Amino acid sequence: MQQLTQLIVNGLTMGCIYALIALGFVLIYRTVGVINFAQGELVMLAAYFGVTAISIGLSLIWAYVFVIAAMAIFGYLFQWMIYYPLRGKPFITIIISTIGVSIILQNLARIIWGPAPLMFPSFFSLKPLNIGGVLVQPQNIFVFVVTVVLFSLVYLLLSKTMIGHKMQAVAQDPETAKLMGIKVDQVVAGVFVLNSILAGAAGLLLAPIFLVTLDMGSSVLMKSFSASIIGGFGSVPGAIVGGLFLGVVEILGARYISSHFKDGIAFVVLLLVLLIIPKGLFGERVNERS
Amino acid sequence: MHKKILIAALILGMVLTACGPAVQEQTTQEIPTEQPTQLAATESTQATTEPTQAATVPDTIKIGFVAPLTTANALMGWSMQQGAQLAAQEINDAGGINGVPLELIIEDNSNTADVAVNAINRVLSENPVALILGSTSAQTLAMEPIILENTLPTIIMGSSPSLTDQGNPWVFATRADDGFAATAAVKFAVEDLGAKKVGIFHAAEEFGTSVAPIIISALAEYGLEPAAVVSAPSTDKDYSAQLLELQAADVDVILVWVLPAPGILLARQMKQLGMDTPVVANPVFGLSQVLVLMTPEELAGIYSMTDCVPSQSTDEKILAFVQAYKDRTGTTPDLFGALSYDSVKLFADVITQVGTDLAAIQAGLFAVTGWPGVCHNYSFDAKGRGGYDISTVDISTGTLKVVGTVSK
Repeated sequence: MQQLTQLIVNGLTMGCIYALIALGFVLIYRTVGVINFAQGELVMLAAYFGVTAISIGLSLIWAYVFVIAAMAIFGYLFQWMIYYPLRGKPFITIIISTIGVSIILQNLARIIWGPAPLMFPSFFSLKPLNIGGVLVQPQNIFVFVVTVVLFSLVYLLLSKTMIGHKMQAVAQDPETAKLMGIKVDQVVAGVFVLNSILAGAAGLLLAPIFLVTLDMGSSVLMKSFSASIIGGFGSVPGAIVGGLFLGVVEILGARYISSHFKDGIAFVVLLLVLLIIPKGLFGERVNERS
Repeated sequence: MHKKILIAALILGMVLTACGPAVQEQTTQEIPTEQPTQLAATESTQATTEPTQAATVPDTIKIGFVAPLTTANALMGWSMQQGAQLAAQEINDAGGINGVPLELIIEDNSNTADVAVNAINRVLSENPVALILGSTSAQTLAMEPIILENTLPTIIMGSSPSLTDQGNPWVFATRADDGFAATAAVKFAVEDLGAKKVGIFHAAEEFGTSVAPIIISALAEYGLEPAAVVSAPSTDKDYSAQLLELQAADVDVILVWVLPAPGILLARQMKQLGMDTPVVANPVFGLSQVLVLMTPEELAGIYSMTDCVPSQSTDEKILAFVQAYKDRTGTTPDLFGALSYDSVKLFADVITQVGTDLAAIQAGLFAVTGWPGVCHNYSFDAKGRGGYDISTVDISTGTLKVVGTVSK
């Protein structure tokens, strides 16, 4: 029982990671109707910005501020240079451009920071806390808390605020939204900035747990994408539920079925969910909205 | 909406599985501007065997070099590239090979088989006379048919037994295969650490899956069976399911066969789960850039099998290499830097002796007996394997302390 609890705790941590990246997919999709496959590289870039901030002598808290500011600027530049020139182009053109960006970012990072893994400090000790026989890293608790807070804020933003309504209006019909007086370009730019900040937060949270490596974002990208589909693509609650569900199921499968098929188990789960609930766990609401 | 998601998933799948995440690069070794071309004709005649292509002296002698310069294995690839470039620089500073400058044609394999195949094809388009593969076993396997078809003498650093078991006469390995290293690891675990319940943690890729049965047979020699065998792909970040399975099996030693970045995470996650079980690993913890990323707690109880520790040698020639490598890179050379350096120097020596005819180079490599390199004294057996020395190092102090060596 103790080991099962330990597995669930560790699975939830990985699930938070999937959920945070899945949230980026959802946010962009809900507003501009495209899928940003550079999401993993945004996470990586934030972690490398953090390493640079520490290396120039900033304290950890100021490094966080630096990274969030840098990612906000990067998010604006991203939409200005990549999305804006291609807006109105076919869906496939835009997502291929995001894949191109991901390749460029990974290689730029290799040129600037080198291929070797790097370290990024944590606010907390690396010694685990013993909670009823279950060992939990303080950083993992931090990841869980921040993930829940970020999801709550994004959910409230989208569903309870005027900005959120504007974003949904832009997503559903940009031309009508423009006629209604909504500054569509500003809303889109704001979404990309918000998405980039969220990716920055994910990078800062993950960096002390994983090493800062070139593949730290891309290695979990596919599972994060799967998590967002399991939850119901386009749904904020779906992203977190899908992420946590996938994180827990794959770790339990790896432990009690076979570790040799850990990745396979995750994707079998995805297939099963799609077969049983084609629209995902929260797919109905997404369908209604879109 | 579903159509869009399907299209997106297909594109992502194709990119991740087929194209690889990194662009390929080609860089070439800088050639001295003052090329001693006048030496070419005279020095080539001094070779012990007449070079077969002496009549047409090339501008440069090209050696291909394919290694993982990006992705998860870039740490190893970087060391390999530095070692090869240092050797080429020293050769060219000393006048080249029979007066002809040596040129390295360097390509990245992005740690994937398809990119590796493209990389070797690009190298072949430059007409090299030899090839060095710093690639891991899966990529090397993908390139071997091309090597055979082009009859190109090739030195590999992959350690999977399957690489030299295929009978490709153009492939030479400068290190013992994992069978030798794994057997030595089992011997150390059982005889020195007193292991009774051994767990195995291996990478899910070819080099890891091929070594697991070897470890199991080596354990059988001692009348033991593994208490648990787990694996993880090198892209995985969380090993708690595997570690908890080993913990549940109450193992007293874990034999680990993984890549560098996963090795660091594995050591870290073991401590996070309160596991102090001794680890005997492949050369992953013999890399200096790995050690600096680990805390003293994470280093405790870890032993690594490694081909050589050049910095601990007392041989002046090896120490000169260590100093030159440090001057070039600012870091202590690891086994991959040393193996790569040896590979270039060995090829240069053989080409100096026999010229640039491919069959002559192949014969020259087979004829090598006890060639003194930095990492090993090289002789190649019928399969093309050489470098049968493996040391066990204790890394608990943050440096490599040799606690035993096995040679053949």
